[in-house]
Amino acid sequence: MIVVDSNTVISCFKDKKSLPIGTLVAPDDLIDEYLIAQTRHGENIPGVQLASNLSGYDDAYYLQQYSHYLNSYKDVSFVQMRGFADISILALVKCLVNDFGKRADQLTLDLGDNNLDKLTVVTDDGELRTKLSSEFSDQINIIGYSDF
Amino acid sequence: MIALKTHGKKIIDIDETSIDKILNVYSDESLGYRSVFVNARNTGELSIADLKAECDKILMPWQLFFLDPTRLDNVIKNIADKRASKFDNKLIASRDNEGHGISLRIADKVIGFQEFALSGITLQNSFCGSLKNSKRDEWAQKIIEHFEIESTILSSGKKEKTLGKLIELVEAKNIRVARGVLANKLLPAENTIRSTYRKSSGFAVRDDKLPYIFLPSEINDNETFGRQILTLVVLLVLIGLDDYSMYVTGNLELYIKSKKSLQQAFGVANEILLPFSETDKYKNTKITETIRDSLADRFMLTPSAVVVTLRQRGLIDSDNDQRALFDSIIPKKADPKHHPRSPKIDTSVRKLCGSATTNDVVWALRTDNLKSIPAQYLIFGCVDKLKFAKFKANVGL
Repeated sequence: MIVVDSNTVISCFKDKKSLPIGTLVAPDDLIDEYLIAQTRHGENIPGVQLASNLSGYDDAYYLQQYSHYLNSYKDVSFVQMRGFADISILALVKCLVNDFGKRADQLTLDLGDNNLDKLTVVTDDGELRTKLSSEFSDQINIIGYSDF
Repeated sequence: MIALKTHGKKIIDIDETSIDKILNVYSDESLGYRSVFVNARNTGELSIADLKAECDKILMPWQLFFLDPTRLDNVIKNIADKRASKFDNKLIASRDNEGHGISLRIADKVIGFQEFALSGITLQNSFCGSLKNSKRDEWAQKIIEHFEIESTILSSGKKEKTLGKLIELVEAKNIRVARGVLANKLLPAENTIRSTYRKSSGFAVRDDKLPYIFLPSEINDNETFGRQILTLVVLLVLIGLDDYSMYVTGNLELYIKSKKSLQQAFGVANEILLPFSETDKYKNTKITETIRDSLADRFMLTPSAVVVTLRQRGLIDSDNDQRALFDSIIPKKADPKHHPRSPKIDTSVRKLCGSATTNDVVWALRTDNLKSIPAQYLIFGCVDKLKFAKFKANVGL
């Protein structure tokens, strides 16, 4: 399972590069950015899945995490409406690493099916990488555009 | 506390004081009385679906309601600080029931456009404050020269076309111009809220690199093209004097006596729009309604502005004569059979954001430097997929 920021998606479209293999999960509030990028570049994101379509999706839990991170990071600007995509990604990653609060945070995506893969987040955004590292350290793989 | 819920499950508790503070960001719109929030207070519950739908109507980010009290105070303080950095405090607070002043919503929207458009602009705008370094009787000529205003556009053709041309010239010199729109719901559409916009005045938003001018245009019933031209030029004079302490009402002519600096700006604007060489022809002639209307037809002023100008230039002798010339003005009424078609979304966006800023938005979207969601917040104040799709299609994205 992978989570990819929209800049990476756009870079892949521009460079005709394939995204890492795996189900790409997108936060519901960011899916439009992905779809617009698809339309604008005439490309397709294979296997993209809305977070709310995941088995066991818990909207209340997702929004609680969203609220937590929104209050934790002061670089979100309500004047310029910037920084909200990072919050959506952090909330989604939190939901995925602990299966919407049903388990303790875990290193793999084992949701009862012995899945030994870690969640991979693909981003070159330095601030988002810092946030992800500090929140999830070794629970996820963080890779950049040049790493795949 | 109000429980914010989704599908029956609680997400967070929202402090009622926080709701009051958020809705009071636009205190002039009385948002606290809206039924969604009244019901939430009565029942102690609010669904996220209702909150998001309501936020789409009042064009406020739903995420504000997720902030804890301290963070919310900081965010609101940032908004207030931003406003204070752009206007004299007196100006922000001056909006009252009589309809003078500026709408906080419109002020914030224009500040948002300005903040966006500023990225990449590094040079100071040489016009800002430049009039302070020269004598009063040179100001009109300095403005004409700086903006390269040809006299022919001020003495021929339709006022609508001249307004468009003047805006083009002003934007070419890095002063952006936003105009009020009612179409396409770019501002909250409900009549109770809109009534606050209808009374809004023209104003300028401070910035040494990229000042912004707002003209009420279609949100104010009295804003004829001639009046908008006058407001535009008066605001240019004020920017040239680094004076951001005044708004320009639709009834400018009635109020200029009360403020010397406004009277001065009006005088300079009229020197540009109605040259002395034209009015000097009427020295020793009694000004009649015919002369008044002829000047208003030939030049870019309203009949009432012509009367005030002629009085300032000593061509109307007494208050009585001035009042008689005011009272006999027949306001132009809209043709009741004429129902203009709703403008296209990109036309309204271009009007509200200003042409140059709209071009910047389109360019930023085209080069992926602006994402679709921040773009929608910037233009529409909320995420509106349908409207955004139409906008993109119309601008060739």
